[in-house]
Amino acid sequence: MSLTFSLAHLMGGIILLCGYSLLSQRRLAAMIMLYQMQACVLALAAFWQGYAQGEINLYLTGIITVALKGLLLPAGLREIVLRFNLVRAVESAMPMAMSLILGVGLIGIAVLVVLPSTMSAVSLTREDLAIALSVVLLGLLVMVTRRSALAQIIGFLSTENGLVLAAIGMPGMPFVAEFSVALLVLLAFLVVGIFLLRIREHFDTLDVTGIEAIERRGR
Amino acid sequence: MLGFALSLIATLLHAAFIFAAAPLLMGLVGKIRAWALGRRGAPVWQPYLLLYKLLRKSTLVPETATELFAVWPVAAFLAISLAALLVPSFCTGMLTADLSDFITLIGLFALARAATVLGGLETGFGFGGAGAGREILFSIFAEAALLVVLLGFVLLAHGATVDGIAVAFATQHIGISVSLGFALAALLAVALTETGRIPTDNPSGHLELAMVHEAMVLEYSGRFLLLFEYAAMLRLLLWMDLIGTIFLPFFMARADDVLSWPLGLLCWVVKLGLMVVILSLFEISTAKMRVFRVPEFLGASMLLGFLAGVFLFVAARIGL
Amino acid sequence: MVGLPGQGMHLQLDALSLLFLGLLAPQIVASAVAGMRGSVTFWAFVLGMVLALAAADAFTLIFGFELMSAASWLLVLRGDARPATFYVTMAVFSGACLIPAVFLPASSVAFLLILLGAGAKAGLAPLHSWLPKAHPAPPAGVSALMSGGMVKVALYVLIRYAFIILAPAQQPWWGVVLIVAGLGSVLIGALRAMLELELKTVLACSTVEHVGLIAVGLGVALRAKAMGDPILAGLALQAALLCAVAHGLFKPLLFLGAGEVKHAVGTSSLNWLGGLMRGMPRLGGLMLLGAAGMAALPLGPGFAPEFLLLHAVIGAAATGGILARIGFTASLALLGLGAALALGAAVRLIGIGFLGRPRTLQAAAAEDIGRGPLFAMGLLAVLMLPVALLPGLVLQLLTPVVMELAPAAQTPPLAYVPVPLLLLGFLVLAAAGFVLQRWGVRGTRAAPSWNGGFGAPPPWLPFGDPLTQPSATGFAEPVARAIGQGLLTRDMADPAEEWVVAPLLRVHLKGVRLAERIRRATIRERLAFVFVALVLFLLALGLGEGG
Repeated sequence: MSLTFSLAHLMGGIILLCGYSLLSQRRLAAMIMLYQMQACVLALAAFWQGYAQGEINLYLTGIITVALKGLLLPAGLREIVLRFNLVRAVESAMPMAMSLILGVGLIGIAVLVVLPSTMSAVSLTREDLAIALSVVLLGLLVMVTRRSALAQIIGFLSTENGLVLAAIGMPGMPFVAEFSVALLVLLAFLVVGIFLLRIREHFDTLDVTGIEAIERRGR
Repeated sequence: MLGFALSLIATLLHAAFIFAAAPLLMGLVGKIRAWALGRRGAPVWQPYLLLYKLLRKSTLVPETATELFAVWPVAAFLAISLAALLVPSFCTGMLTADLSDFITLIGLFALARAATVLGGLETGFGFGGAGAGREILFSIFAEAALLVVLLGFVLLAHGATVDGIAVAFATQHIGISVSLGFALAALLAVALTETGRIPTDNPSGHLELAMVHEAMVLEYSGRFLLLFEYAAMLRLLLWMDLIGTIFLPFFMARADDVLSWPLGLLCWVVKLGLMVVILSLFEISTAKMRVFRVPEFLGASMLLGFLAGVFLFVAARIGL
Repeated sequence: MVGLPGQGMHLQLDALSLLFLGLLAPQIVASAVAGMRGSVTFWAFVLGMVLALAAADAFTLIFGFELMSAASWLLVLRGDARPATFYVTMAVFSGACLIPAVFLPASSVAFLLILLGAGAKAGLAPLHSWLPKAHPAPPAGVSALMSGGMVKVALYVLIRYAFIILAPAQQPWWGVVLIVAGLGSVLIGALRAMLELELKTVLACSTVEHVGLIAVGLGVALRAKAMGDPILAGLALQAALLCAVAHGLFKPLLFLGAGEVKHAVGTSSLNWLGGLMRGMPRLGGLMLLGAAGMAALPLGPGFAPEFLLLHAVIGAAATGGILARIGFTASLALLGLGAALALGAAVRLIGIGFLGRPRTLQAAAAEDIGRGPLFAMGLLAVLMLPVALLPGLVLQLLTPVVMELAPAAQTPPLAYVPVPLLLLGFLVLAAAGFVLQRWGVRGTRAAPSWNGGFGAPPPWLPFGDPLTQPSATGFAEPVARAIGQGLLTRDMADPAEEWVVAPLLRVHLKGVRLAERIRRATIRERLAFVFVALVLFLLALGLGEGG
């Protein structure tokens, strides 16, 4: 039993590490690579949980994750990067050190939140939940601190990974929710892709710095 | 009495092995790097030849240096040797076990660094000054990261000596833990910075282009340079020993049990070989970072160490 | 008899007073020998400190404290008039906090007032910005005693009240406040010591950092004592007291040396020194010892306190609720940052100031120190040896003081023993020496510096162009860019200036304007004031009787 928990936490820890490293990356290619690694480890975690809990549905979740988020999505994102010539460094709205410290603060908040509300649960499940909540919050932080629309999308996808991680850690999650979550991601990606195409056509760039300046002046 | 004698012999063996094997380790790293890049590379015993060459060369002292010019290499060499003697290699429970408090180790690293930096500032020329400033910058974040990582180890092992931590990790069944994973990542980052490898400094050849370690020892020659170079080799061995002792404490011998020594020695050699291969492959796959990215790199590792501590607190069933 | 009417002054020496008096004695001797013995104000300063330490009642304590402040203000004024006003404001503020506090019963309000008053005098953040301005101003002997002695007297007041007199009302959060203030001091003091240019200002900022370290130790001990943890309390108290002892030895040595540098070279700005080790070998050797203490290097006097303090914080992080543990982990990281910054500052001081090439002709022509300062600094250096090599013994001498402050405390033996390390070092040195003698080439040869192939400097620049040397600013520039831009204000000034001093100055200005307005009130306004006061008094009387 302890080996089950240990391996699950190891994989959760790697997913958290990927989510945290997203904050410290400046290049889009590196961010996409981190997201791909995160998705693959998430698939591995799903497979492991499927074996440990004896749930066949989790194996399916793992296959969907690795196919959609591990192979298809990163390929698509790289395609967007190539087509729109987005290979420059991503600018961020706050200094790197500040966002890293905020990231740690968010993880601390996730830990503080999870602890009292799950006092009755086994301590190792608390660690699982804390990791998943941290990944969600870190993904949101990436969305908030990056100026490029594509980087914001990667943050959103990382948040998605955190939600799936929380779901597979809980025994008894229904399969329907998994399927809908996966479809939601795909739809979101398609929509966002078209959206990006329109922005790019209009403004010749996907950098939203200029829009921020105009918005501020408008108020 | 017999136990004391065996511990003494074990300590002497440990000293002999680390002093003899340090250049070999450096040579191995260079050889595997060359192989991975498709070259033949220098022979594995090249660092021994380098040390012998420096031994037989005359020592030049620059005219603008002060009388303390000779003190800095000796101080750096002594500090690193002491640290290397304190960290267990193939067995735990040596005579120096009680002295090997982790904070004493950190202090000895600081002493060696201070001696090297002052050696760089001796002649008052620009290369040494630039190297010294950068070394101080890296050391600030490296020391903070090391202390935070240490907290995790002390909490798990209930003791602060490296020896004690090794024994505790070997006997307790800690298993795979998120905290230790983060702590390993943080410790690896600090180890790369302290030993002057890629991605923080360029260790190949004697170019001062990276302006960190080589720039500080630029003006030294002959036996003073020998002491600095040997200290650098000992430092690499010392850090590999440290990482191996803490994270791979399997089958380490006990100093007062002669029958466990051969297995301990074999495992030590295997651990070092594994780490040499990983280091070489890592070095050829990344480039050296820009100088002001290194504080971010080390700051991120310090925060990872901090996270290791936080997750340790979570797992230990503490209420608010 | 001097003192309060009908009571007089009471003097009494217990373990704590004896420790601090013993701390002060070598510094007083050293400062007097180094040239301050003819000054009456100096002896008044010393008398004030001794009275404050030996006091058995609050009046004597405050009297001694204020005498100390007044005498030191006169000495600062004589040295440099610009920081004198700031200094006297802080001294008056400190007195204004302490005097009511000694009359209050034991409570948290009393503790906060004592903390504000004594902390301002000791240079605890955020009330520390006066220290780097005022301590460099007077002559070196006085600076030495101010940094080494006066901050200790302020810390003595804090310790006596927090641990002994206010002990019945102690709360764990008192310690937390001390720890937070201490960490702020450590960070800002060490950072500014790394970035400042004047030698004495660097040393004063280092004093701020060490006061911070002592405060962190005291805070951990206070919290542990309030929460009933005897081992942690003993460990932290040992750390704080040993830090005070060590600091009281190497800081006056460094200040006296800085005074000698200014005397010999004419300036104490690091950018204009260089190569002093050649012309002033005795001073250089002594400053090297002092800097080893400031940098907390092993086998030096400053390492054992740092060792104990880090172990105390690690011990504090091992117990308690999760918020406290996270806080202590963060404080461990900050202490590591501060220690490395202090190392950088000490290395910069020796490397730029004493090693390398002279940057001015005066630096090249500096003559070594005379017998007086040599004796003074030598005395302090000799006293540093037992603290460096036998810290366990010194800690045993401190045990009665620890027992007085925290009666239930337990003091474990020190895990850092320098003598075996020194023996091991000798063995390695002997082995290396044998190898080098047997197979190596003997002797050295002088040659021009390699310097990447630039060759010898032209004959009209006998020590080379000063601009080709690393300057103190240049050495600290990587740190300034990486950390300074985040923590300091835009023009590299102390953040306390912007966030604490400037608002207080604004409030002060408003108060001055109000006072001026009142002074210029017309006769009608004054009558109106008296009338309103009378009406309010009658109202209060009527309401009081009616209710």
